[in-house]
Amino acid sequence: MLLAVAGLAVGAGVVWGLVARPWLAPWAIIFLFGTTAELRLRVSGTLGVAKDALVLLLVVVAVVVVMQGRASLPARLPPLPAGLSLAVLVGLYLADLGGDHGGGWIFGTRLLLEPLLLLFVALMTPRSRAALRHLVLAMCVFLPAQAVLAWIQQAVGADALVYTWGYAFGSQVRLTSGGGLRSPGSFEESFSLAAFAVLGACVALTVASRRQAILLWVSVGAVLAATQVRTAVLQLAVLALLFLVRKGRILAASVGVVGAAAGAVLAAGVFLVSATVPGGPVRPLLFTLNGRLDAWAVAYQGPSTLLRGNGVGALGAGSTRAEAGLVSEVPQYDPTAESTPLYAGDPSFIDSSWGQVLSDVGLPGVIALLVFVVAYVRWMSGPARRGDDAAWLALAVLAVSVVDWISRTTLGSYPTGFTTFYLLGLATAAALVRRPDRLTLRPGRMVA
Amino acid sequence: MTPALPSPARAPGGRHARNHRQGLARLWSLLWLPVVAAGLGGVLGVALSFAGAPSWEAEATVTFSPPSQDPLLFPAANPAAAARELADATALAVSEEVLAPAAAALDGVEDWTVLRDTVTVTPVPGSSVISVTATAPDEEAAAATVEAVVAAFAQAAREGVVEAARRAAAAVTADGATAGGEVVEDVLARAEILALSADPIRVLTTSPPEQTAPAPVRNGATGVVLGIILAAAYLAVRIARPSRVTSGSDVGELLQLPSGAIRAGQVVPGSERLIEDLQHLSAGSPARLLLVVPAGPASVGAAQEVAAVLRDTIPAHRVADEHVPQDAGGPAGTEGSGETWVQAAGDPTGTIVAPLAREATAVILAVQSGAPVREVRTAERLTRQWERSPDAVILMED
Repeated sequence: MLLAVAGLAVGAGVVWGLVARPWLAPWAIIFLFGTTAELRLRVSGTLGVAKDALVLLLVVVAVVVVMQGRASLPARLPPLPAGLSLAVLVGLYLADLGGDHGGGWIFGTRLLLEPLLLLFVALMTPRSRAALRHLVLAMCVFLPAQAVLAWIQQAVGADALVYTWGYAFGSQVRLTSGGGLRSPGSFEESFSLAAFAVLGACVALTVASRRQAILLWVSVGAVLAATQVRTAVLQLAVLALLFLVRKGRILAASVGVVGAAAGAVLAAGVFLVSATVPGGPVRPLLFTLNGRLDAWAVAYQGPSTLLRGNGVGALGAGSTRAEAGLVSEVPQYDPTAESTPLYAGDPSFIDSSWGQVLSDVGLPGVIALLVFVVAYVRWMSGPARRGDDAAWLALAVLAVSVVDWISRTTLGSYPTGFTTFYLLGLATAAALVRRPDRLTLRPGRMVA
Repeated sequence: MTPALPSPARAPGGRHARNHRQGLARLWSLLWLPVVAAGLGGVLGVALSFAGAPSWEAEATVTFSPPSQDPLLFPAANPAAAARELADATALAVSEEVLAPAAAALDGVEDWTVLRDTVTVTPVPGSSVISVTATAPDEEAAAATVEAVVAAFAQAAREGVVEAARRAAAAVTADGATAGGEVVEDVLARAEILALSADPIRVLTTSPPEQTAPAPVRNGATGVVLGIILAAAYLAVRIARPSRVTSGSDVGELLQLPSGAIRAGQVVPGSERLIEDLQHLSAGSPARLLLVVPAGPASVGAAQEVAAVLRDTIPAHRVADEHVPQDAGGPAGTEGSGETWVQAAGDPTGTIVAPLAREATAVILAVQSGAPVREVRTAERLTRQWERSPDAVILMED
């Protein structure tokens, strides 16, 4: 009872704060999205809907803000090509040409729509530059805390995490092919923590102050060392290339791309080997991409897949949620059940956002997503050329996301997809809205 | 009788017919895009259907009964193992162990890897049912393939269980001295029953083959819907995007400038700060010319109105302002006057604004509420060419 009252009080405070000061929303986003898994495990499984409630509240706040004239729709809405491609993608998901509008469709569509709603919410945030500063501050608090937690988890080891902390093997507790522990922090899986750290790297590289950047980079290094996610290293390489482009070193960036690609192919073809299923044959990483080639092949079920997809949520992420029900089961240690890790070839495991969209709505959806990315880059290239840090943050977030979407289903995923689109929208709004509040005559303007 | 005068020429059909025609024209202006897109999509879908080779698909559903879950043989079986055994059985169905004998049983299939590409095995979640589908260029081949694969699958699964029972019996016999007589007999009996009764795969249904390609009707309909989705998305985005300026926030964010608003000759509450800033700036400047520039043709009247309000709102300078021409022209003589002048320019063209802007203390853009967003964006691009960018923008609300 006391807990419920306290929860209601906190909830009411959050609602009041968000309505009165929408630019404080990044604190709620970062802390709720980053701790939902732990809250569900420790407090109540139904807290999973808290994120949906927060998204709904933020949408209402955004609508109110627009109606009050505190944010301008014509100034902040994406240009026609980006908006149109998103509308086509949403239309394809709603139409579900290859499916039957079943349970998988509900969850598959919801998982896509909520991040897009967060993109809209972030775009319409009043005082977006202040909101971006709050987001950087929230990250500077949250990411170091995650780094500390991740290394505490490393210290206690996988057995204690399962039998004492109550985590589920195969969910929060995962091992590398070499047997090393991947720390989950307070997230549901280590890959989400690594993705959050990469977003922290984007912030550190672009909009953070010098001190904040140092703190964030140290935390990013610690988190990535504790999670041991290879894709994150690839994303950091992309960030390095973006940094070179920003500095005008296009040639160095090009050489870097070619060199890194050649090095990666060499390493993956000769030195790095893995088994795609436990006990299976060990093969060079280049020829299996750690089982992803098998997982991606699941998305393509024949020529009809290209035209209209297999149906939203028929395969991949939405299909598992449809089985789980409205409130999915909290991953936790259960002595009466075997762990059920997903392996390449499982129909609920596509492991690529591009593949997921192909499976859901077919090639038209993939093309729409691609057009969105290109149009968005073009949209942000204007402010980026003028040297706007926030525009470079938007480009960085987009760059690492495109890489992540190749090898993970994070486009419509919680919390990575949700956080990514919110950060993208906030950076965009901050890049678009640069007007000063007060009129000041700058030096050199006045003619005597 | 005077002849009737000819009536003046009138459009055929009268007012109702004209309204009807205008209504149809408006409807067509909205619908032509979805209609054309749907038509094109349908044609493309039909054309695409005939681009590929014909294809038939046959499906069989089987049930898999995990031997470990037999309550007679294994009363203390772990139910959690059933899901794993179902996944193992699914993997077995597309393995060489099953597909090689199936390929051998079929005419014209030389290698089992060919079957691997045409056979799909999918477990039905939450059940012990497995779906086996096979595609082939003709009806008979599809039916024969799925039958051969299901038969080989059942055989391989049965042999697997028998082999496991045989191994268990051999192991317990070899270990009989330590296990004890009763235990050995019990295990041997269970293994024998298992080997005799093993039949983990049972065929539920075999559907007649269906032609999956070419499917002109289905693909044409898909193309029609895709075309409608594309057109509807375009219309939705175009209609949802505001095309006219409605608030001070709109102009402020579009032009990246501090903004204010006036209404009916008065400063709108919340905009006083901007006026105070203008007063402060003009008071501290020797030039003291406030230049008001309309952000496009729709805002020319707004510029005049804003200039008038500024004159009224900055009382200390009203007298001097009366001498200032209100249209575009050369710079007013401000040097040494010690007074502030408010002047409205004709349009935001650089050649007109530049000479005035050089003399001005502050340049203020004026925008009429309801002005097209496109016009304001054009003004924003024009101001980038100016020697000095504007300092603020004021919206004249209706």
